[in-house]
Amino acid sequence: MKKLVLVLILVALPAAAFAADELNERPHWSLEMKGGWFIPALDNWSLFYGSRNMTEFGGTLAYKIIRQVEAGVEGSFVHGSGQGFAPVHGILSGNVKYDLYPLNVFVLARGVLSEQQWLVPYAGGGWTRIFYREDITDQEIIRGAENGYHVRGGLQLLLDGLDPQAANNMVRDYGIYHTYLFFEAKYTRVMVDTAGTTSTQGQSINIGGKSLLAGFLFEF
Amino acid sequence: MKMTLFRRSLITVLILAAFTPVTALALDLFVDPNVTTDNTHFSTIQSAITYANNLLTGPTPTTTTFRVIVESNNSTPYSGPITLISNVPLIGRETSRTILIGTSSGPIITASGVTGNITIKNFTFKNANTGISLLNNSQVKVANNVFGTGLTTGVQVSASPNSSIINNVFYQAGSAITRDQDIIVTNNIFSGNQLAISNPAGVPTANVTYNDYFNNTTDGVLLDAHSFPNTQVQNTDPLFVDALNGDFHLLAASPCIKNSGNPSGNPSYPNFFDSSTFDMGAFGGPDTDTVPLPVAGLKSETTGSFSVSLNWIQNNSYLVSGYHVYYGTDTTYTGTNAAEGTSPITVSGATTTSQTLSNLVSLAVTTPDPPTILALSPMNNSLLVSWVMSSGASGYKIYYDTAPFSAPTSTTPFFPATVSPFTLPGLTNLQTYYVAVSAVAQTTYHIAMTSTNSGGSPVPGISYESVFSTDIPFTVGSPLESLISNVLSEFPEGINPYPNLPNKGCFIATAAYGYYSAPQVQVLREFRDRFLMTNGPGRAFVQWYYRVGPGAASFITNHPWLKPVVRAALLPLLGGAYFLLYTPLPIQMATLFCLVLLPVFIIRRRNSLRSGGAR
Repeated sequence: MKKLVLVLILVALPAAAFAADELNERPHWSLEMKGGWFIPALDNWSLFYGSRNMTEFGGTLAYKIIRQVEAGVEGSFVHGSGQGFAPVHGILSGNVKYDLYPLNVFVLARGVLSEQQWLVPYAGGGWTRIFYREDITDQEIIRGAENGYHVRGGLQLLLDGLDPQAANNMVRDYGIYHTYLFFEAKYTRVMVDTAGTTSTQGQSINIGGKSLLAGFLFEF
Repeated sequence: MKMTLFRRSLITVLILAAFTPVTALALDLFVDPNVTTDNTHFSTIQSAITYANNLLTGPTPTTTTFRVIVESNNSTPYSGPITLISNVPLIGRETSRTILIGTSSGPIITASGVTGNITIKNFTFKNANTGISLLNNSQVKVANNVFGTGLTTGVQVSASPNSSIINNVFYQAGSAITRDQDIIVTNNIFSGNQLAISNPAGVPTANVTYNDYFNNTTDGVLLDAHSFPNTQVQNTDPLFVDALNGDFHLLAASPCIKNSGNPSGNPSYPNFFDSSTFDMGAFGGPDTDTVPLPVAGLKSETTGSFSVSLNWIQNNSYLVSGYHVYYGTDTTYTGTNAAEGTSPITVSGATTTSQTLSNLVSLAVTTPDPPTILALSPMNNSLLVSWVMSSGASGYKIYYDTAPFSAPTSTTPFFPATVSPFTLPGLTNLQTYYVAVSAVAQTTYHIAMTSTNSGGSPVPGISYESVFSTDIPFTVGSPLESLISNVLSEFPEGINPYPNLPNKGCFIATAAYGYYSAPQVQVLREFRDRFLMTNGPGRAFVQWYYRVGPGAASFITNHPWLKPVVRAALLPLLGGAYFLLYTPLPIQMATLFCLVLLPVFIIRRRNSLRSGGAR
């Protein structure tokens, strides 16, 4: 871990000298499009859904308060399909579609010291509200929402250098200053009191989990 | 030395063989996503073109000529972009049912710099920026296509002076044809487009002739004497069979049909199916497909133990001459025993819409072996029944009862089923049910229909005959039923999801009305989702309600006398929710307007009275 921090600092240092001038003209907004895996924090998840992961897709829009700090919102969609539980029989049965719609309001710091810095670490977190939906075949749909928090961090790679002409055109035609490829890890914690049979009623569980995501970041 | 007759003949054959030109092989590459791919079958149009291109331009180029034949696939349209290559024509199986759609901002088909005489024909283009883009080509023919709705430009022609656009329909496009030279544009129907044909300055229109222009915002070019409208044809409505649903065949009264009393059509382009006629549109001319649309709306009605009456919707295309009724005990439709004749039975006349099949005999069937139930899986108010299927069974009966049984009686309830597994519905949770399955064997006929065109030998889906309609099974004779399977018992129950999360409905209303699915509760729930959860204050209220609601609901449940009181108290809220959810916006606005005006009116009235005005 220490080595990783050291590498990030070394990468950022050479750019620091140019930072002051280059940051005068800077982007003010960030738009992220991303997808990847969501690993629920529930112990028995794979027993019911056959896989340890769910797919997650999402996007964010944030305003840069200063060049390095931004605040915004993030919306995601997480989906899984599996079986339910027949409580009297004590067996798996029926079909369940389980959807989560996490909504995050966040503050994020990006380690940008130069507009040409090709590797940028970032980290942030904030408030989370997860809307959930469980559709059991031939039964009523269960809906609800609960609050919690999330933290996330990652690395973003500047792609402008791959095709400087295209990057210039993006600035000129669309006002997009930078395009990054990023890899991100996210942890979400939202506690919900379960319903159902007496033995499990009132048990508090975390319907959040870990996310491993990749995507593109556009700064404009 | 005298040559023998044999030697002379041999030498003659050899000389002829030496001077006879070698004819290149012709190979059709078929595009059909529903068949296994091999060297002549491909899942996408571009993969077939790429295959041909590799062989034509490889280190040892082949002399084989290729055509790409695209099978009809209207349920899942093919998508662009598609890039053509030289000398490989692209041909759809049926214009109406071989549909191409766009998936990017560019053209569906691009032909750029291709050489040779190639044709793009028998497709329907939809939903794209451009249907076909022709650029710097030697000779490309666009024939017998429909350029339907959702196209900004139908065909875009640039620097391709030998292009020709013949026998197409352009329907509700932005610009049907844009061009920069005088290309051949003939026998086309332009209907409802914003611009039919672009007319750049200095570009002649001598080759733009014999077209029908109807309801275009702008025709673009100056119409020649042969195009409609003209002195002989004023009403230019092409009279499509059903343009809204994609059927651009012509009705019999269409002015675009060339016959003895009608002047339409370019005589240089005779109809493929009748060289004495010259129709405009996508179903005339030398390159038209001859396959009519399949029979729609086929229904059967039992008219006796061994007779069935068929009804269908008339095909109004003027080209349709009748129908074929196919029947048999399997889907090869090789039946021979109907009183009306051997399959297929010909129904003459497009206006006929019914046919009876009688004397269908019951074939010898044997009683199938009893099935074996593998499992009963509990579900909410139902059981999922799985069994081992029996050889020779045409169907199954799922018997069930709340009491054990060893053989079903005439009162034992059952559901018919065709395959395993089957969900046995309508059961009561936690009530034990005994379930058995029997197999049934009965002669089953399969019936399908096609529509036919006159002018050639009908082959279903290939020429002069449509593809088969939906298959209709029809059983005749008495069923033979096996003994029942093993009897298993099980009880259904409600299923909990994992994780078992709370359903945050309206607690107080549920307690007051007694059950969650009460319509009043559902109205309040919908009101919450649409009017409260969509804004900050509303969500805050719902949050607060979720904190205090369960306590209040519990209090109401424990004090039943409160329920009528709470229901009465909820009435105004229910009324408001009904009003906001189920009345049209204008009525809501008018009511709001009146509510705003009412206090103004009351205050003015009161002031008026105070100042001594008349009551």
